[in-house]
Amino acid sequence: MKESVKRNLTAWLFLAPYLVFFIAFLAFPIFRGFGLSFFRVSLGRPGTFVGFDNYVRVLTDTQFWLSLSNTLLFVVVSTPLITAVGFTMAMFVNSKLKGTAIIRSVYFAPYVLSMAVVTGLWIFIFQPYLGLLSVLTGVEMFWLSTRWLAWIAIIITTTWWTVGFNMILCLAGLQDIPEEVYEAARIDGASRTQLLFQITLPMMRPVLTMVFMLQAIQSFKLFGQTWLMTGGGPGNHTRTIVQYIYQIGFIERNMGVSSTMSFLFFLVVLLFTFGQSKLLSFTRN
Amino acid sequence: MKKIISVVLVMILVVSLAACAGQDSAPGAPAPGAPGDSGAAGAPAESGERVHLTFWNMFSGGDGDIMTEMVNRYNAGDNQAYIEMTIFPSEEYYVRLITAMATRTAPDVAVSHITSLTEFVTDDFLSPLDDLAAAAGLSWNEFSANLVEGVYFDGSHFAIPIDTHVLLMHFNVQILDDLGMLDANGRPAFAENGDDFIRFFREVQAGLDGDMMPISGTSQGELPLYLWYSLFTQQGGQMISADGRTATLDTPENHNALSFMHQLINEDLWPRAQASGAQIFVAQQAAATFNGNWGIPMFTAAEGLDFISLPFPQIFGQQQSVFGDSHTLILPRQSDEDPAKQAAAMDFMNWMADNTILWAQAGHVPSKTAIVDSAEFNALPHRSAYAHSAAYATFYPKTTVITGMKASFVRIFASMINGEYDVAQAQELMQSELQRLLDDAH
Amino acid sequence: MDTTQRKNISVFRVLLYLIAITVALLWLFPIVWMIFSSLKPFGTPVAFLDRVFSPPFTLDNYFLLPQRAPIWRWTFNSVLVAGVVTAGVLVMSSLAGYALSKIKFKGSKILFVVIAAGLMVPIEAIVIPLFLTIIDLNLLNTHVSLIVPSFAAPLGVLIMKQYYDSIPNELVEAAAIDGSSYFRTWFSVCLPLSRSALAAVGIITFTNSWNNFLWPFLAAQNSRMFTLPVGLPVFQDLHVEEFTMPMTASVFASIPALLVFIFFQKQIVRGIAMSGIKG
Repeated sequence: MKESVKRNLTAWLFLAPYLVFFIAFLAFPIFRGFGLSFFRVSLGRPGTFVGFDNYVRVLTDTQFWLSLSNTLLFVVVSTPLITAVGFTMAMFVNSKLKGTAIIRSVYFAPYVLSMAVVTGLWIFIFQPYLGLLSVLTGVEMFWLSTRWLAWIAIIITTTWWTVGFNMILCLAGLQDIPEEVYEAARIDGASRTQLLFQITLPMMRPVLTMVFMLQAIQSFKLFGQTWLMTGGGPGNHTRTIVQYIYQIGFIERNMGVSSTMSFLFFLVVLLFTFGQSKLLSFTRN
Repeated sequence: MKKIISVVLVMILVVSLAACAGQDSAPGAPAPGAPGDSGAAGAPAESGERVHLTFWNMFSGGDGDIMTEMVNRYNAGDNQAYIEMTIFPSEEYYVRLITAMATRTAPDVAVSHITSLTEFVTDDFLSPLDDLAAAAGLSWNEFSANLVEGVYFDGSHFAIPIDTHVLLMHFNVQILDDLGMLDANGRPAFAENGDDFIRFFREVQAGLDGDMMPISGTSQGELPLYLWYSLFTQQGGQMISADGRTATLDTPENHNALSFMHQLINEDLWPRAQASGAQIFVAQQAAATFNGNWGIPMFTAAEGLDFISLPFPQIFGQQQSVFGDSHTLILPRQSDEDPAKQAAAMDFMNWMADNTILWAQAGHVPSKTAIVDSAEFNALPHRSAYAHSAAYATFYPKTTVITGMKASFVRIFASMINGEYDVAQAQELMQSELQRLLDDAH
Repeated sequence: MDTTQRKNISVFRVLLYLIAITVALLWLFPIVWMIFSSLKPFGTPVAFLDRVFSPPFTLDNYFLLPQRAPIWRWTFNSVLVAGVVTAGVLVMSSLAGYALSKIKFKGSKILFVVIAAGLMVPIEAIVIPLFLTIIDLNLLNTHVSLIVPSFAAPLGVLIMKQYYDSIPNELVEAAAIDGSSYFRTWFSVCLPLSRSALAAVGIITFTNSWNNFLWPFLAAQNSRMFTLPVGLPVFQDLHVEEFTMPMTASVFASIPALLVFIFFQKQIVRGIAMSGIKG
């Protein structure tokens, strides 16, 4: 057998197992979903072609925009926050102080817990009348049923749960900065602030960028915490786009419209990711 | 080479374990009433002779315990089927059931509210029951008329009702008596209209201690919906136009219903943010509670709670009405219809309909009029006081958007109750959401 | 450095310590509270900390728990799914990554771009068609349905490819000269070298799979197929008024993860760091 043919064949054989799943469960669904967005279809009902009707319906649906803006709100607030907190924690853990290894473990520990455990815990903390905060402070704050408090609760819960991951990433980045660079600067009389802003942050830029982008993508996917802690309430104020997609697709059984929303959501994430990386590379220059 | 073989073997082992575990094994699961699990107690000696059927429902708490007991009795008796039951939390139940029916992987028998039947019949998810019922000797006129009407679509009956359940009000006799607010018959002394109702509970409120409340009632979930529907239909209100395509919630009737609820909340007669009105009533921290007949077992079991259960008062007088619904048994269509299974399923459903005196322990009103009129039923405490309200209970209209409507309205009411929306906003949202659902459905 | 600076540093240090330790204590508190609550008798009001952190303690809830929920079943499902997913991903992504990195074949570049593009697609955006595909394949409510969508994740492939890129080509060429087939070269030479990358992929995959909520929530149709993240809230919903039992369920669900964390912390940390830098 010719060498190059053999090479190609082998390569595709190596790739085949993965590609089968990639095509069946990632690539194909994207196209199928796109196709579905032009139909009125339900589980158990035959589908009818409706052209752009679904798109019109979705784009004129205030609930769609509300859910999307809820998600965006969360992305815009939580991403810098969780990145910054993770970075700060990493900075501390990276210092040569004693006991930082234990503290690192503590900050990271919640990450290994499952979402149900995390939300269950924090519901107990936030709920009125019999919740921990309510009993400890004696003040009745309806965290989970008041619009902005609910978001604060969700953000606190999410931060507690996932910041350890960001911390580790930042830590790795920090540890890559050679000690000599700091030493040289200190000898030149640099203050702590100067060290931070002129050495650490610039050198951490690629890592921080990546952490920021990863966190943003994670935040876009918000579903579990809001579904379990507030049910999307009060009203619709913590209902994320993913939850709305679920409601339209599975509860109201409108899979066509739900597919349309999914596709638009996908576009938003794409746009955001591209926009973000363009912005970040732009500011670098 | 050895390494490759061992790796592959391990993978095969893991995958085959997965495949085996994926088959649904025989029943033999833990205690009755466990969430989402088989409630059947131990296999009878000759389950091999019987037809094995799966049965889904959404009964939790007291309802779940009683249903489990009924299924156990059926399985222990000399009957055609052997039932394996699974219970789901009510929020998820319909999504799961619908998915299963749509993919023809539904259980053999399932529970459905009578108001959800329209959707299922329209989507051809259910097998009509007339032939099977005739073969089993079941006669439709044994059931209450409104129930028969509710299961009848296009010339066939599609479900067997086992109860009617209604919204009631329950009163703490002790508390009201201490406040001197009971009449000569030991009933709360207010006339059945909105003004007197408010007057009565304002007085109760004035007489109560600080941490007690006049009326308890869960602030989220479906209870507010039941309350609203009662108030709405008492004015003759209709949710949907006759042709089923237009939402008719932008009406004075809706405004009045919402305003009444709003007033109760604002005056703290029905305080907001209650996670469980039943628990508060059981703890004797409330003079009265909004709850259905399904709360009665819990209240009966509560130590030291002296209570009465009465039909939900006529706040508005145009029409005698209260929210009601009915649990029915349905026969989902399967990809391969098995006549033996269907006959066995009918045997089970028939048995259930005949033995609803057991189900009545959950406070529900049995579906067969003979049982409702029986001495045994009326001997049960409180039943005789409210059972007649089942006859004038109003169900949701026959439309396919009930599941979506409930999900949507539950949300709107929760927001209105915690102050997010005022009456006008809530009304507007109800109208627009229902219209959206109807538009999507046509 | 003069003494003033030294003093400032010490004060700064002490302050830093205090803040960090306070935060750490607050951070740890919920977990500690959860564990202690699970050891209290049924019905204890867990919001009253004085009662939680003082005797009596009992293991009763742990024995009651399996009677109230099929928690072993859920744990089994979680372990099975996460285990098979991880094993499968490790094998397939190292094979695929190797091919993309070390075999010069036609279409290699394009394929790489396509797979990398897959990273942009959140599963949340394709759940509907994914769900329909599973139904078409007659796999609804099976363990297989919980497992296979995770095999499509591009991250593992990309990490392995990156790692293989860092292995010098000379090594591969030397093996080829020795008459080794592609497969043998991969298996005997490169695979052992990529242990840390594999660990990274394995750990990330396992954690993601264990904590996955949305897909199992949709694909599992009844309680016997629930994984822990899906079953736990169901359980908590049905126990709204009592608190110790849900805490027990939570602790139970967390034990495997916490154990892995305690014993493999270094590897986990290193794995994440690696994936971050490489990915």
